[in-house]
Amino acid sequence: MTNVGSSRVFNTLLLIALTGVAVQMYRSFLLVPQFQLFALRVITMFLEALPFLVAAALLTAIAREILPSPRIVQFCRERRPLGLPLIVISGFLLPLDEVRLPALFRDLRSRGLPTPHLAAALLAIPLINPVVVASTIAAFPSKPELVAFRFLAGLIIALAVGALLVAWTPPERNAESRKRTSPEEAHPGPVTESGAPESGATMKARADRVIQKGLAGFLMLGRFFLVAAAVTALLQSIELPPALGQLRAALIPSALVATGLAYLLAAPAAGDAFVARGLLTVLPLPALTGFLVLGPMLNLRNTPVFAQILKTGHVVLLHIAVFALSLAAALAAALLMQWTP
Amino acid sequence: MKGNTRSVLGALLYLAAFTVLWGVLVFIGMPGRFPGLLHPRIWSRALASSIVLVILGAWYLISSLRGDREACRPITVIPLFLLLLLVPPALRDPQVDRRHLNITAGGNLPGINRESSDLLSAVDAVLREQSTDPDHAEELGRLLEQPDPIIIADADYSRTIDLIWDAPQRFAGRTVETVAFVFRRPDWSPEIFTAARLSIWCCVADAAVIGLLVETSLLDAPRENDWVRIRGELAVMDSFDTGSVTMRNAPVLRNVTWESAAAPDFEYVFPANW
Repeated sequence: MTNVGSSRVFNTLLLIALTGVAVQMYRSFLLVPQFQLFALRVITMFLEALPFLVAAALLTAIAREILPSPRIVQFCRERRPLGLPLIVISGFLLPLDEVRLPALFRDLRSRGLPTPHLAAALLAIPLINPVVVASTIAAFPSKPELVAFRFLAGLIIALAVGALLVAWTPPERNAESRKRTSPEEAHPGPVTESGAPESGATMKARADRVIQKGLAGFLMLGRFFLVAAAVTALLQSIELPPALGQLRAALIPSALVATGLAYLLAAPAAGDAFVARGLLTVLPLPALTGFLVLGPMLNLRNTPVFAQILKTGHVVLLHIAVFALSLAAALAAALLMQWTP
Repeated sequence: MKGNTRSVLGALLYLAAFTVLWGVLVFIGMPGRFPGLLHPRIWSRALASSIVLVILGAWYLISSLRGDREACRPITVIPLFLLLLLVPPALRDPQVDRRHLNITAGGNLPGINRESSDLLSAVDAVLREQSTDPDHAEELGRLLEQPDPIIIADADYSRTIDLIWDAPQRFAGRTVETVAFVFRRPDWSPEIFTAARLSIWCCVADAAVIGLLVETSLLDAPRENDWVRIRGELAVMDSFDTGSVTMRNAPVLRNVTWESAAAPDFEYVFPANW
């Protein structure tokens, strides 16, 4: 057996041993009632979100085979007024989950999408998306107004920030971008993780790619969701300090905490409504509107992506603008819901 | 094929993991196995999506056996579903401390579902009684027309409790009977408890206490968490401090008699508008 082969066997055995230890620890912890409840909460949250995570991963894999339409890109490149709204709502036609944002970013950039439109697309597509609509309805079936508000607020914020970016970015830069890549030069199909064009356009090859990327995407979404669900279950299960316990009664601090949590937890948009519902024990519903609006648009995962396409100053301004507008959305939701502490 | 061994092994593990997940979901779905862990609608959706994953995993396996794909580290799915392979017991297990389910972390109130507590906690029940919703008025009328005792049955438990909380004055003096477990917060007076049920929106992660407050003498009070068949006369308490919110015009059962009862086959109830 080669060194590489024996190293793989060793790593596999080590993984099995560590898994065994983890299982035993988990079983022991299950004897503790609070942990039992914590585990139940994580599992049930995961099972609830499972259909939507699967749908998001598969639809993303399918959409990447056909997105984006060169016409939309051309529209945006010519800086036509409708280009920005078109790219912002394109997620409805071709849903993409935000976990594959770096790949989406490369796809869109390789087609020469102007920077402001690219940033607006990265903000909006993860939120303005039928899977996210469906999961929000499933999580809050008795609150259609919350579902509508989430998407309307997301749409407005993406358009507003996109318009700001268009205003900030001089047209010369777009001309430069046009010179660098044109639709003719751009590869018509999806690109690999390394940015190289993917080969194989037969139906069979496409179906294979969809399944492989769908499964890989699901694993990624699942991992991010589990982390967010675990933190939420922990907050539900522990006795919070009195100061945190009072958060439900204070709108602005709770909205700040909700938007901060949305950024840090970076829950996949396809399942974040279930996380938000879990947080209802800690934070009031209007504050969680801020969580639902901001989370898919801006989080720890996509900040580095924005840093790649925008100047540092613009990245900071974009973050401030999205945070401020999400907080405003939470306050507006409180007014609409006639919320009282 | 040799270079593809890892991919095939990974695919096998992947398929095995999802098959086990599927089995677990079927097991959960079997009546009486894990009552209340998930609402039937939720587990059927979860089951359908896991079937999709199993089919995709099978496709992936077959393609891997043909050697026409690269490995995508499917082994990482194992930790993901580790929790599912070791599903903790459902909440009927007496080890579970119900106090951690509801009020400790937030401002949930007995009688008001968690989701609506934001909007309703500060609202005087008298104001809610003036609702102009014709369905609400009709349901309230039907309930008031029932002869004593008004039996709060499992099938419409949540709705009945909601109606009583909405218009407690109109039920004052009426006799009510229900089967519930005894719930009280540690900071409540020992003479007060809630004849409670756990309402789940979708699953145990949402469980919240709903029920009626009960006032009894210290000597007669049943033990916490015991299931009881309780009968009493409804009255209205001017105000009641739950520890997180002060409620006005809260319905309370007084002059109660109770006897031990077996826990229902299905311990949980669902919100009225499910």
